Amino acid sequence: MSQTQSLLIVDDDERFAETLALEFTERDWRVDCVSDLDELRALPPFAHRFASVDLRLRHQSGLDAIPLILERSPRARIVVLTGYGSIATAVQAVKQGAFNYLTKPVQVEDLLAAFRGEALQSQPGVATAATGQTLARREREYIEWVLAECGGNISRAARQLGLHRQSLQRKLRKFTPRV
Amino acid sequence: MRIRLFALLDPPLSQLGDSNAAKLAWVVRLRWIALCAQGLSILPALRFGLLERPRVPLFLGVVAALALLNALTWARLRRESDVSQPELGAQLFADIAALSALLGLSGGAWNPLVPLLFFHAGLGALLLEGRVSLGFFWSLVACLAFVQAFGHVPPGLVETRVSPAVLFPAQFLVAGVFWLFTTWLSHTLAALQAHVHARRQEQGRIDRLRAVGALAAGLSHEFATPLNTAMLKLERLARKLDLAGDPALEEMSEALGRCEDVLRQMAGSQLRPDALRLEVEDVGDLVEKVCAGLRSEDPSVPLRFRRERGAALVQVPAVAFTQAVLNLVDNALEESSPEAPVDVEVRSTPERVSVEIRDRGPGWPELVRTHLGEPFVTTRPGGVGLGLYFAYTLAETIGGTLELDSVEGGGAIARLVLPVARSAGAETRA
Repeated sequence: MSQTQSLLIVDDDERFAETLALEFTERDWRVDCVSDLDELRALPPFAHRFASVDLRLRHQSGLDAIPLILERSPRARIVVLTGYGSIATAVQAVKQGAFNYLTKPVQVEDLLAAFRGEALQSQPGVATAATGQTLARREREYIEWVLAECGGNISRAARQLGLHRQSLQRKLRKFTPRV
Repeated sequence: MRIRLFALLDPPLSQLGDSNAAKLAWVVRLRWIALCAQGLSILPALRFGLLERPRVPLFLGVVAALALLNALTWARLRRESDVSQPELGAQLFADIAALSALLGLSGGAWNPLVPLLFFHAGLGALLLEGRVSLGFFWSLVACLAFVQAFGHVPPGLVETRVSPAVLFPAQFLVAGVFWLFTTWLSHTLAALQAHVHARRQEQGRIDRLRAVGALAAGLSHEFATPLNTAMLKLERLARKLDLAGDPALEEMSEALGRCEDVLRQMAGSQLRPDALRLEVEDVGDLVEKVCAGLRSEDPSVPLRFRRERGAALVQVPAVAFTQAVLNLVDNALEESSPEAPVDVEVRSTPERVSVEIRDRGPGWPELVRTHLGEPFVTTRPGGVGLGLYFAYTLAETIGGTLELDSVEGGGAIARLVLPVARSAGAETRA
């Protein structure tokens, strides 16, 4: 990544946002932080290349930040961060246009890899889970692989999310890392 | 005042099903009312010629005897509250015997109050069970026959006679219908009560598990971000001060890693409230998928899966259950030597499905066995001690158990025993 990269951090924990921002500014990235949706709307226009969004923003949902970001920067790769994930929220995030999905705590390298569309062994995310290629031992992801492999459960999840089965599978496939 | 009187007479619904003492206490209260009514009925009985004046002392004598019995019963209940079904039956028999005597003294089968005996048929069917109830019914028939055969009919009443050939069988029939109907009703009510009770217990267990899940979710969310901050800062510190390899920093890093492990295991419990919907699943399929998944991850894993033919349908939250089985199999694989086989077997009987995971390791440590069902109990260095806890809690929630056995000659068995789905026909998998 030779040219200057840009990152938008949406996180209600300001200490964490600053810590993360510091790591990226030291790598010569342009970084902006907002802690809720209102701040995000008030941000001067700039098309960020990448964004990291916490799924839980005090009284708001990080999911709602995704369309706002895509409106500003249609080509942004958004990685959703959460302390507590599930296949349903991951699918919802991707449905909204997120690019990848990680569970906290994350290392800077995890985030970089997720932005690149890779999945690390330490943080396989749903990306590998959906394909079943590299089955990481991380147990939650493993379960989600089981779910993804189980046709009955997929259609059930689809019903729950109001999606047609095929479209859900397409969404899940979108998680597939571009190696 | 009126409300209090009704409250006094309300049947003890919550105990009617199981406590004879509560039933008898109710009978005693009802009987005081009946005794008042019997005493007062003398006046109209005299007025309408049902009762002749010379028989009044005998009539009052029967009422007084029943009142004495009731007082004794009342005192006995206060002293001791252990009542058997035959005793309750005898008490109800005393009532119909007294009532029959009173009817016999005042018009026999032609007394318009004979249907009161039918009420007793219903009461007996409601409060008595099995052979006692049947015995009570036959004694009621005998009482009715006595009233019909030996009832003293005052001369004034003869004119209004219905033919005994019509009236007598009709009375038996009505008594029988009352008894049968109430028996059926009380069985239905008991079944309903049992069903409601079971449902409430089930719901209570699921709610408890939901609470655990919500707490785990909240904790892991609240801790994940600050922990992440600490990890990033620590790493930065080590880099800036060139302290890579410093023992203190290493230890801090390990301590944070330990927190991360706990968080991940809590988040991985799959006990989130939204994931706890019970659905009928073939447990054999789920367990087979776990094994297949582990094998595809590492083909050399010494895992042997066996299942009996036929469906093993259980009502489970699929994801949480799969996670629990995975934890148990992981446990077993870690405990045994790399080449020693781990056997996973799914068996089912008409009532139960069992999932057995057996390793050739050292067996369960005593600590783990005695504290089964408590969180954070582990003897393994670096272990978190939530895997068994979640499996145990999940099994309890769906009405099953988690059993830990040690095999002679080495090896541990973890056995999930789960109830077969009640409506196995109502399979919900698409």
